[in-house]
Amino acid sequence: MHSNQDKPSFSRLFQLIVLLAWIVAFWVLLQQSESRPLLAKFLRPDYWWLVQAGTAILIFFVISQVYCEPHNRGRRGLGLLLQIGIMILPLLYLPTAAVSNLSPEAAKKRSFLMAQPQKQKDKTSRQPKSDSVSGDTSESESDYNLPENPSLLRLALDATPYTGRRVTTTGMVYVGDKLPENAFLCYRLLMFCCAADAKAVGVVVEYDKSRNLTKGDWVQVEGTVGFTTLGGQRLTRISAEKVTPTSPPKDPYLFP
Amino acid sequence: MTPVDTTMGSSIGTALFEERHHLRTEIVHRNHPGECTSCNPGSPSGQPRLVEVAVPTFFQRTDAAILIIEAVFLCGAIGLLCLGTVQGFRELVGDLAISFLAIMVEAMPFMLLGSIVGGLIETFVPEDLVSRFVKGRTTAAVFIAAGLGLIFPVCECAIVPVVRRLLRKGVPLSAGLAFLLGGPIVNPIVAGSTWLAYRFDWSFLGTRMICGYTIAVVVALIVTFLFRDKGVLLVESPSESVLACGCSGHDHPAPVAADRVSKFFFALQHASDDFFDVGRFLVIGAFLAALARTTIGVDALRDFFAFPGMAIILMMGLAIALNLCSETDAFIAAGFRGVLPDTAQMAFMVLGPMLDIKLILMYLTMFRKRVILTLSLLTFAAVLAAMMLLQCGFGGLPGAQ
Repeated sequence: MHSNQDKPSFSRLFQLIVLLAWIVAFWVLLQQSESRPLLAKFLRPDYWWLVQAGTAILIFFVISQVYCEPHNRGRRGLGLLLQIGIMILPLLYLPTAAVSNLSPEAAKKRSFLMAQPQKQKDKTSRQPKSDSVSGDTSESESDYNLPENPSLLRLALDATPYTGRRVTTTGMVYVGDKLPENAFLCYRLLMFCCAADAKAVGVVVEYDKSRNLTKGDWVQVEGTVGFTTLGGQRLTRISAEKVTPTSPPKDPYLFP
Repeated sequence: MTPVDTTMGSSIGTALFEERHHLRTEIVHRNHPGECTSCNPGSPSGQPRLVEVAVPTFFQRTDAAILIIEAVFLCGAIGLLCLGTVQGFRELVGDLAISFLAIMVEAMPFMLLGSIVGGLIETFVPEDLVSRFVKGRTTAAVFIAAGLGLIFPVCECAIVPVVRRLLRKGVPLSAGLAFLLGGPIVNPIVAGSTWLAYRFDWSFLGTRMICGYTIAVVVALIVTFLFRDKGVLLVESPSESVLACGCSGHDHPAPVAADRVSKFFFALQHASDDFFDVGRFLVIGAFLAALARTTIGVDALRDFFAFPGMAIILMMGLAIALNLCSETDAFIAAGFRGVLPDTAQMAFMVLGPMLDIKLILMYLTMFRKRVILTLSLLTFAAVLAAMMLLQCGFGGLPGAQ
């Protein structure tokens, strides 16, 4: 098993270039920048080990390509060029992806996850129940321990315990034709596995100056939680008292 | 078959023909120990005898078509990237780039792991072991293979190189197909993601596993029956196929006299070959999926979802277009809960891991076109029939909350 120096193979050379390019790309993605790697933009943290494992495998591939005899197979000519071109295509898109953020229009196309479970009667969290059964008791007790600044995900999925409470939350702005003049959606992207499957979750914010806000800007909303019906769906609504521009959080994604 | 010498390759004019000639040239080794000498003509050991196999026009046509598709795709993708510098397209191309990279960095490690497993199988699993194991148990092997994902959990990106190697090791087609279709669904990781996405609803998890397993078995048996006397694989028999050393046709599974380290590197080379063979289709599929995610608005489709039958068919179409990983798709499907019938969500989760654009392209590295067509139609029909049966017979998923 020695590299076959007498028989240079363009196929082998190009394959090595592709492998090395991918290793460099993975290395760049894993590098910490402002305390989080670029990879955080594409993949949820629990899956970062996959990229590390992939990098290790690619390094082994490079060693095997250098160390072993060429197998004298593979594409040649135009076929080889196309193969190499396709294999490095994602790397050509990497710089664009690195400087971009998913736009509000992308969030809209993926649909907003906002619908609340239908309740027969909204519970007011601060009113203890006199006839509570054991389950209700624990729920009432937990209501008193609710964080003051719930995540947008919590509010979007089930805001019932917060009904009537004053909360502060952070998200991006979406203003659209289907919303009332005095309202905007405050949303964040919920990443299940990767950015491609990220889905927007959010709440309706009633705010008189909604039309002055710009799509995609990060804002901090302070207001009182309630519910509203829009397009036949029951949604969480925050009646905003204050909406202030803010800088994006360190990790813009939410995770289930 | 006419004997030719080793210099014949250089006399072939076009790159296309040269490539196919190379793949279709059967190299028969006799008594060569250790390394593959055909890969190293300068080696003193062994005298490789090269025999040219007649090249059917079918292969040239297929290759030409694939080359054209690849060329058009590459030009289009690079053109779109350049278009991203224009103000009106900047946002669109940015969204596309993020989705494309995200799918690639998630799927590629799985494919690399699958390639490694395929390479290890190729090098370390002797063919006679496989044939001894499946001898006389062809039908039983189908039922085992469809549930093999429980032991070897692989997603659909990783399974293609594994099945490719297994088939060339002599695993019966029916068992290979059953594993190919069932493996990405009937496995603990997918079960876990479905369980979480549907908030511990047993009916979704159970229906997905049962449907995935049953459809994999049924489709595998039917395809095997339909093609029982016909060529199915691109290279039809192990003796003609691209095997162990990546050359064409050996009757040795691995370097016999080589030590374990050498064998390991041989396995890595096979894995690397698989990575390049299948990887380009993964890139094309990931790009198309990202494009679909960027341009197709889910809300725009909601009006079509009023009827369960229509919803099922459209969700099946969406599964094919979106190319989602089987470990992820449950979360996407769950996003349609309350909007679409349960059976439509289930159709999305059962069909996607068996059939999507990326998989169809990857199948091109393994099966003949007519087999891919039959397999695709049968899988689509089986999933549709199962979901319609659930919808019409049970009014949805049995026991769904």
